[in-house]
Amino acid sequence: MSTSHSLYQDAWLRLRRNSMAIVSLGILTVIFLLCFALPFIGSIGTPENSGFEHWFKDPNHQDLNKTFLPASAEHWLGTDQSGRDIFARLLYGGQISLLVGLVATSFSLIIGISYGSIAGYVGGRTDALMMRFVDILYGLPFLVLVILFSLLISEYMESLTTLLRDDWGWNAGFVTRFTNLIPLFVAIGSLGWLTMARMARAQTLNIKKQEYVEAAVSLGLSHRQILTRHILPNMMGPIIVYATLTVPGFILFEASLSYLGLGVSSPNSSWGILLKDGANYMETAPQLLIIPSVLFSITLFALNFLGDGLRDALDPKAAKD
Amino acid sequence: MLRIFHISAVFALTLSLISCDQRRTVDRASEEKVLLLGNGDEPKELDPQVVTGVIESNIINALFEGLCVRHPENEGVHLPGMAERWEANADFTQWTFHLRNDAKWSDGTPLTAADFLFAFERILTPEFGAKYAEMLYYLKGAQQFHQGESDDFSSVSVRAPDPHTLELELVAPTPFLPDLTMHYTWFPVPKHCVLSHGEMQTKHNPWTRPQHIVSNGPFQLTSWKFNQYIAAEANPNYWDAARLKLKGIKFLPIKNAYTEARMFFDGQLHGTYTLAPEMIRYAKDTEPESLRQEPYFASYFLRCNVTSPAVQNPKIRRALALAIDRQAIIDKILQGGQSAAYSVTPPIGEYQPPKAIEYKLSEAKALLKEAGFGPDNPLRLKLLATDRDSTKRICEAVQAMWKQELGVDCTIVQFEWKTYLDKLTKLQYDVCFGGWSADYPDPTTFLDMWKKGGGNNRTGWFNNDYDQQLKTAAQCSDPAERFRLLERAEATMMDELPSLPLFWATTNYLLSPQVQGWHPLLLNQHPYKFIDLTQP
Amino acid sequence: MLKTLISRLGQGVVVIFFLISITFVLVRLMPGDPLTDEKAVPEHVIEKNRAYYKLDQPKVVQFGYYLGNIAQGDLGPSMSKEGRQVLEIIEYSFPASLILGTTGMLIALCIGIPAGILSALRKNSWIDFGTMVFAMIGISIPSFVIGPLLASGIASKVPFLKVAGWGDPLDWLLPAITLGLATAAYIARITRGGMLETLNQDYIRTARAKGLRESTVVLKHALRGGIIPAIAYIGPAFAALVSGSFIIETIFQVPGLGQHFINGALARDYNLIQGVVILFGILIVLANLLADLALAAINPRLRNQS
Repeated sequence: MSTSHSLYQDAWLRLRRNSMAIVSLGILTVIFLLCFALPFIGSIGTPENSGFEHWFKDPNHQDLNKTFLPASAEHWLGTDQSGRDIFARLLYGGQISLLVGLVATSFSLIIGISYGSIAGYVGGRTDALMMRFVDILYGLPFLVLVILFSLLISEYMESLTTLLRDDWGWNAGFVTRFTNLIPLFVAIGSLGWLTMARMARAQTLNIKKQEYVEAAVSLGLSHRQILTRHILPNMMGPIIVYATLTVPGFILFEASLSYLGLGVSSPNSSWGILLKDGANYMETAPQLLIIPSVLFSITLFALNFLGDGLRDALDPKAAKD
Repeated sequence: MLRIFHISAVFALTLSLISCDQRRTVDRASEEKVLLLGNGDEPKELDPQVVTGVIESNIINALFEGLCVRHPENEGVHLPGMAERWEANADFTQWTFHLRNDAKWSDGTPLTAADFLFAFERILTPEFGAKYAEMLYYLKGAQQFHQGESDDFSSVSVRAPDPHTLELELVAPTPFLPDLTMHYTWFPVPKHCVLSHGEMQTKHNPWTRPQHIVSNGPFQLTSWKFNQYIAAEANPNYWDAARLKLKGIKFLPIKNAYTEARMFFDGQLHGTYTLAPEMIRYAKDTEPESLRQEPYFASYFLRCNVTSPAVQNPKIRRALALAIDRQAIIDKILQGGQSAAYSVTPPIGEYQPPKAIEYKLSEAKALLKEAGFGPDNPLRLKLLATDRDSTKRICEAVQAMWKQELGVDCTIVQFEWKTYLDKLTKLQYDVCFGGWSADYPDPTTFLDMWKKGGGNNRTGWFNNDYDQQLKTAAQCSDPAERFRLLERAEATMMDELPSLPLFWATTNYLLSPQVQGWHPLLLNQHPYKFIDLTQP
Repeated sequence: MLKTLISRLGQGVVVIFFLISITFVLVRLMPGDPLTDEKAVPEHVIEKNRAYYKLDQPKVVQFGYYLGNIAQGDLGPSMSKEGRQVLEIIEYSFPASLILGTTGMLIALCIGIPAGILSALRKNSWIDFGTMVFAMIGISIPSFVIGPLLASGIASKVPFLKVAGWGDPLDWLLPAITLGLATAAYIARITRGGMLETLNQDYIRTARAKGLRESTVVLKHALRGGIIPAIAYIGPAFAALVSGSFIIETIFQVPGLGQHFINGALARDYNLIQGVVILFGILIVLANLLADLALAAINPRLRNQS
């Protein structure tokens, strides 16, 4: 193998050879495009002159005379309990859920890894202090925090919404849908990284005592260099796997919080909310549960195969093969 | 390996032991005459003078009995309970109740008028802090005593000239007093038992624990497993014990309505506490004979914060009210046979509320235009709601109707219960989803809440004429004339629409056909002493 | 070793003190209070009740009373379940959660760790793929869907299983499976990741080169390193499982502890939240301590870490 490639170019090359990972990447791209591009194209212009209006429905338009319709040319996946188009709600919900999953996971990766690896690397009292702080955060009653967050931040979010909508002239529906998510990000960002930090610390402690790290120390590398060049790359495997697992956790979490005034506000949807509402119709209208479950599962499968591929590709040991 | 074998052997043994009796739990219980009821949640207390909720009331009605007893079929008929007979003067302000001589507590102690006096004094003692003491303000002097203006209980007009006579003097003509006496706040408590576990005003008095409790109702408490079940058995010292058909009742605190329905269909319950709208269709298809849909004396509406600029204008409130297609919400979302409300108070007996509101889009659009709003200048408002699933669906439907028909830009803000209450009480909302269920079968249970400064008003609305009309009605001793006056008061309120009527409630629940003697009742309080269970 | 243990327990006491103090402040910042309800209660009645719970006192005084009571082992009266002590509520609820959490964790460990090891050893084989599918199902189907599915799909068909309720040991089965499934999936995936990482290490190659039996290499050498991330996850996960789950408790009608975290917060029952937070804090401290001890036992090189 050519040595002129950087670590990441090597990784990309290895990833490209993993067909499962590439297929997964393709599926994820399609789902992203479906969720973000299609509703956007469908909503160009005002409803009156938009040529797409007839096939891409308003996800919140209800018609109580057309509830639980089966799939048809008019409604591609049928209608829900309030006569709304399931296809449109699924895609609009996907925007929220994908955003929540990815942003929250990035938060937890960045904060968790840096916090945990520093604690583990420095060790001693600093480590004890940092980890006991994590214990305290872990023990706090989450619901109480969420109630407080939703209240404290909602005031600011209201003024932000008014600003964006009235002064900057942004689309009202778009603004309210996304400003509602900011408190959620704050809540998850402040508490979602705790387990990640514990895992990163455990990995660091393990790697720190390996021969190659001790060799690097004796070679006189700086702490920063040791952390970024030797410890971080070697702990990425389990961390990436865990990160792909946290995505569904955060997506479902959003659904339970939306009822407490955090997360997306009614009548907007997210995959978590569609699943939660669908579960109530398990006996009477199972399609309301099955349709979002299928899309959710496909996304998670793809995400995990991609995560596994990334893990293999980024494994420094594999480079020696 | 050996251990695994052991474990599986024990497991198999357990299985075979349990599967001996293959009958469903309800069938076994029916044979033993034990009624199994889902009851919503763990009760907060079982002390009739502490509690405030329906869940507690369902259990307390089995354990305790007041002066009168509910009729199993007819809301308007009062049967003798602790009182054998009673009479009132012509304007219903002086009442005399004659207690039965054979009235006993479950430990055999005779029950006398002193127990009633003790109960009334206890609930009205300010230090005791009873949240529902207002229910006794009908008694002359009760309000003054409870608010600390008088510290002598003899200033409250209840007298016991002898151990079996109770004389009450009321503030105003109250023809429905027998209905009130069936509410748990009017129940007697065992003076000897309460005082042996604490003082009269002691809060957290443990006298209601199964090992201590003494009660006077058809059933007595046998066990109280926290968050698991509450079991009661027939009380042999009950005066009418010969009539009892049930041997016991078991109340299960099932919070999740879907779980409750599954437990019912699995044969673990005779009756459920509630039924989720999504399950109504399923129940109709699978066990139509068990589905019960009965009118319930409760009303749902949208409160308007009349101090908020968005809905300050009565024309806007009227436009919003006219644009709601109530029947569609009932048929498609609630599915429980509720009726579209045209006023806040549901009709009861001779009381007919004014037909103030109907679904009329053209008028709604015209009114909103008059108020200066339209597609170019959309009305913006926030709809406050709780975090319940069913509430969310109703609010979404209303929101879509307003948006699609009137172009109103309405945002739903959902909060959990206490934040919702806080925002509601502090008038931090524009429009708010709410409801009210009756404490007793009389329209004033709804009308009194809209009085100026009333604690349950929560709209900022008041109208002096309305308050005056209610006051006049309260002094009227002719029942028919009184209803006409109340109807007029309600019309005054509906002219200004501090709250937009949505629907009048029904109760939806599942009840096994094995349960006999359980009839539709407007307050949904079924006297357990008349209930029987047939063999499967 | 003993010194480490004592030092960690000392730290635990500090953690719990901070936890109590922060929770004490946070619950009182929430809007609304324990004494209001749907039906308005007159102001003079509320005042009497506030005085009874000492809520009319300055916050510092309340905190002082509270700490004093804790020192005597009294967590105070519940404010939503009037007539119950918080300690009593915990006593009634903790056993069910302990049983359920332990059973759930056992299920998770018995499925998760072997599945993780196998799929790492047979990477990209059908075993690996099957484990992945199982894990994804466990993670992507939330408990509020799995629970009802198990209840109406299995329990209502099998005569000796109940759809919900808590009495004999058979009732533990379905809620424990629901509880353990997602955790099993997490453990399987994390173990696989950790094992793959260690199987590539030099010392494993050395061990294999020395001609040691494959089972010895895997179980004695590779597992030591490979299980580390899983243990870091299991510690807090166990504390979380044992402290109960609101969703599973309501779906299966389990009289556990999890619902009090939610209901205590929703009802603004200050004493109840504080009580369960203290209990949860103790569990977290112990679980993390045990996890760290396990890490040290597995990896001798970590032993001289404090």
